[in-house]
Amino acid sequence: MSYLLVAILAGLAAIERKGFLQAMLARPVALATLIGLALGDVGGGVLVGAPLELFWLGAVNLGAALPVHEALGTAAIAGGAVLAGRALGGVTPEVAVLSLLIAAPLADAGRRAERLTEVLNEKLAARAEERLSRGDPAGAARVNLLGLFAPFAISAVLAPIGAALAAEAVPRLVLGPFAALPLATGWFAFSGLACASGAKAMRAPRARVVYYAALVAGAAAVVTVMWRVGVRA
Amino acid sequence: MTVPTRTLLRVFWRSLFLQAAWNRRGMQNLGFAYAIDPALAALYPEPERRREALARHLGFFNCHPYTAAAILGGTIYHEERVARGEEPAGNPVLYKSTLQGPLAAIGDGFFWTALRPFFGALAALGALAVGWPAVVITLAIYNLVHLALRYGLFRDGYRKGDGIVADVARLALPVFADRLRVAGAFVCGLTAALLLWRGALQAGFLSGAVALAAAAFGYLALLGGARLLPAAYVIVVAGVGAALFAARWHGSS
Amino acid sequence: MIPLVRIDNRLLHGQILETWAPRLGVREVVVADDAAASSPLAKAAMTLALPPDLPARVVRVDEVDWAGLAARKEPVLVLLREVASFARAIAGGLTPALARRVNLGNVHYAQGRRPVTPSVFLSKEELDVVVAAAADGFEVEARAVPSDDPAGPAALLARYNAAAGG
Repeated sequence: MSYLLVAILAGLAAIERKGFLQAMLARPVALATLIGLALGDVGGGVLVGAPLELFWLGAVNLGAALPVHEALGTAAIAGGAVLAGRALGGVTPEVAVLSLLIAAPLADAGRRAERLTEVLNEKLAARAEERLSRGDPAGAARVNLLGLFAPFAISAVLAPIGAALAAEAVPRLVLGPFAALPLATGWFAFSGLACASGAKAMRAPRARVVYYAALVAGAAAVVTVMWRVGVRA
Repeated sequence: MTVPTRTLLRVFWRSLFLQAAWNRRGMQNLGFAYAIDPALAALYPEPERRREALARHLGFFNCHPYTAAAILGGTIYHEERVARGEEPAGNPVLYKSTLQGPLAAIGDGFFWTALRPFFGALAALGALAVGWPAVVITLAIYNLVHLALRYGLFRDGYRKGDGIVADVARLALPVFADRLRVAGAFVCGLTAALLLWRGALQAGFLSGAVALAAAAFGYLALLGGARLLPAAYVIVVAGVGAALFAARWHGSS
Repeated sequence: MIPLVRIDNRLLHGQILETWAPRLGVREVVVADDAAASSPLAKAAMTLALPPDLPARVVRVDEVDWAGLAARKEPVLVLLREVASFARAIAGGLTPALARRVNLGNVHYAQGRRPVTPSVFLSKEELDVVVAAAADGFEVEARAVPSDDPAGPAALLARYNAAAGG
């Protein structure tokens, strides 16, 4: 049942991402939240989705140039993390980082699959022309909607597979060979890199200075607060 | 010959499916033909003329999915004049081919690489700070802007035809894009600082410090051309390694 | 100098403004296209998407002063619509010494063209122009954005021959 939900949400996200609407619902921060909601752990979804959003902030479709399939990657990672978290008392940073490492390559696989659908869709174009030549313009126009099936199917198949791999492997690793490793630090390292990736996606002349200024000023504020709290305690 | 308002609304709804069958040869050609077909059906009651009209819109088309709405509206403006015999039948296609590149550039430069990433970064920061309500609010605001502009461009394209270019110029989107990107970079920097706080509370001060260091040095590495996914694996291993090293050093001292 | 001559059916659009121009540090764009140069709508539209600090000029292919642009200190990106315009540019004085790198970005499908990259379709005549230019010293490659893997003349030739035709 859970995997069915992951499949449906991943499939719909793949459609929303390109074929219909594009209202940010397939962006990692939204999709991971929705998957968390569907699987009964909104907080877990948000925890995973926020850094993934920044990590893949630059994943945009410019003309014919395709980015990685951030929605497929997110569905697999968030789905896997929330399901693995059921066995481990919630989505901890340890669970999140291992799910990421296991399922993130699917984003790249999704990009390859999308290229393939673009070639297959040439057949749809031919079909539309054929319908038109038979005197059925309304039918020719509607051929467009047939293109929604392939992206749905690809993500609906691959996302649950990635989620299942993570959901099966993560508890074994966390309770087994990796039990002594400080994995949580790995998740925070990844989240830091995600901020950097997000900043890099903001290509503006002053973006570099502003990014570092915010980082340094924010960090100074955080350290000050910690110090004062620490002193009082 | 004009297109009824109801039909225009139907065309706009269908324009949301512009990239459903994106293909290498025609790119958004099927999506454009699908969107404009109800308008063509209204303008050309004679089957042969409607067939010809749809055939010309099955030719190559590619634009940004939002700004394409302006071209769709403007193309209907020209098709109305073709249907009335005031313009040659080649005008709608010429209009499309002239505007698709520049409006794609506007859409990519404003929506895809400025407005959406800005709201994405804001949603991420909000999600980490206060949780899911921030995601809902941020997305609601983004889509208010998105749908208002998308529908406005469609309506103005239909009313003004070639005049849409002046309208889009007045919006000064490249100027706003620049500001949004700077603001977005600011949000990313703040998020890194928030991670210092979060990491320190959840997993020890070292985790927070590692997050901050990854944000500072990861940026340099990515600007230097490091590939994103491999960089993620490297930084996770480095972070865990740093924590191991610190624990050992701390334990032996 | 001219760091890149780009052949792109869509002329000035997002891939160029968002990826190539920042990557190459371009300070001006010259769009060399007869149809665009003679259309006020095209000219007006072309300037829409430009960031405030990047000027662009739209001229006819024959009007381009290749030596003058190459002699400039600031990098200028030149856009051509078709491979045929590139051939005309060579006839009009473009040499590898003035602009070595030539990029095929987007050349759309048309009758007789075969796919050589996801975004580039070439006819036999166009491929011949590309191969001959490479033999004359131009560094010709096909890719949409800098992060794609470039395809050189040998790869283009191989893919053209491997494609079923269209």
